[in-house]
Amino acid sequence: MKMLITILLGAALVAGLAWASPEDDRKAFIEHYQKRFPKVALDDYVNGVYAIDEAAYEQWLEIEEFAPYELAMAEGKELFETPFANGKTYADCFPNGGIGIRQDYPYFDTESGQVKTLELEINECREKNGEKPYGYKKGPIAAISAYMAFTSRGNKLNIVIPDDPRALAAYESGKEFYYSKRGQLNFSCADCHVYNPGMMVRADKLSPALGHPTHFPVYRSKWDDMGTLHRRFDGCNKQVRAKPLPAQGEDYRNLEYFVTYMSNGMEVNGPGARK
Amino acid sequence: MMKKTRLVALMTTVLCAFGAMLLPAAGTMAEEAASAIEQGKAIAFDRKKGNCLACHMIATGDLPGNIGPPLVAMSMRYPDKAKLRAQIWDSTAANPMSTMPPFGTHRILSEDEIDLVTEFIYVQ
Amino acid sequence: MTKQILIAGAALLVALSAAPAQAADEAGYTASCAAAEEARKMAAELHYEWNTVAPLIGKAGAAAKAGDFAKAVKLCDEARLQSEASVAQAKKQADAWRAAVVK
Ligand code: HEC
Repeated sequence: MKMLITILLGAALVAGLAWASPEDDRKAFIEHYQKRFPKVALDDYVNGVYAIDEAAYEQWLEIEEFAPYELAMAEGKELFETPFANGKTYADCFPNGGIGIRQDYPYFDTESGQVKTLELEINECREKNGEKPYGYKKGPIAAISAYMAFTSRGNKLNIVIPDDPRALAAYESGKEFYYSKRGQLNFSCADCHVYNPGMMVRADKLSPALGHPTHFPVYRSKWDDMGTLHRRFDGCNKQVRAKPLPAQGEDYRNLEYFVTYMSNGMEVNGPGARK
Repeated sequence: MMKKTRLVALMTTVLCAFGAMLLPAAGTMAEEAASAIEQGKAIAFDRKKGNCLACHMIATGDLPGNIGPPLVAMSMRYPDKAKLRAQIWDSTAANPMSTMPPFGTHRILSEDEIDLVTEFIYVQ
Repeated sequence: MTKQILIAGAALLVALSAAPAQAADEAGYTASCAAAEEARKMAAELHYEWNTVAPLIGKAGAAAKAGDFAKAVKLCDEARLQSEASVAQAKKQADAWRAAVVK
């Protein structure tokens, strides 16, 4: 694999194709949005569609005031602090006792050669301690993740791509997923969130991808429930009539790695509320 | 005198008979076209079928999106109806980056349905 | 008596001609749906399956159970053609995505 990538990168260079590093990608990404929305401050992208929709912004502030994710957060805190049957807690599984670490996820684990997300490690922690894993899209895992995000509010996303060809390959695979048209309706993520933010799909205004991952998990009025980022991926795949891929499977984890890297340096503001 | 009246009468009868043959024919053709446009409209507006309004403004359609251009003055923009149909069938053939679903290639609509939608869009 | 023989003969004829027809329909359904399932798997392996396909195959199964093999064949043919289109999509996107990257 390592050799293959080296060969491919070499071939790309020889062919004179511009090889873009993740950092080149991120800068081009930001520039793209700043050109499209010259009046929107970079810091405001963490507010999703409300950063570019003044009419909905006021309404949203009212929803945030009411903090519909509060119940889940309280539940998450309790779950987080309650010891497992063996007496250990989540705090034993995470750096800094699991407090204020959201900004470092997802990361590339050089030991397993995989992208690790926060939700994946919550379940790994459970299994390591003899507990059953949770479902990945909603329920207790969203609650715990919401609490952990809350303890990290204000910290800046710090996604690292280590000097390991497997990490770069994971990033590239997420990038390929993001830009590939899928489903019977033939849309890529980028078709909606890069090339058409601010436009309407029926009554929905499309949000920019920049800042997408900062506020997850999210309380979504349409779900009347909390959901993880992979629940959202699932929904966005279905609406173009693609069969969703497994939450926390390799595809979605790599996708999260790419998407979150694009928002590097932005503040964690989860859990969030959205229409 | 007598002959002339007869001739006129005869001609009138013939004409009437002709007209009677022609008129219903012309009538059905117009009706068929109108019905194709109506059926095309139903398919175009159906969220499970064309769902054109998700992305395009179309006169008389509610809650349109605006990812694609408004569908107006179509017969001027596409004097050749076949080109319009090809665009609906698979717009990525002309532009691989197009965000419009390839209704034919991806079997979102049947050939007949695409014909009907083309009739409807053409008169917008 | 002759009448009875005639009726029995006619019934036999009908049965004889219907049975192979029924068997042929069922064989057609089995072949069409096996091909659909194979195409669906190919799309799934590429992680490019459409969510329209499994419902078509499901409906085909229900139609076959109700004895409507013609309908079942139609549904499975559609499922196969859609799966083939999604495989073609995967192959096309394997290159095409690069042109879409923000530069
Ligand atoms: C057909 C258009 C479309 C496509 C394609 C699409 N989405 Fe979405 N997406 C939406 C809409 C509509 C919403 C809800 C409104 C909004 O925030 O944009 C949404 C919301 C989201 C959100 C939540 C935003 C927030 O602020 O909470 C994320 C994250 C997201 N999409 C990611 C993706 C990813 C990743 C893909 C590709 C797998 C994708 N989307 C493909 C239309 C699309």
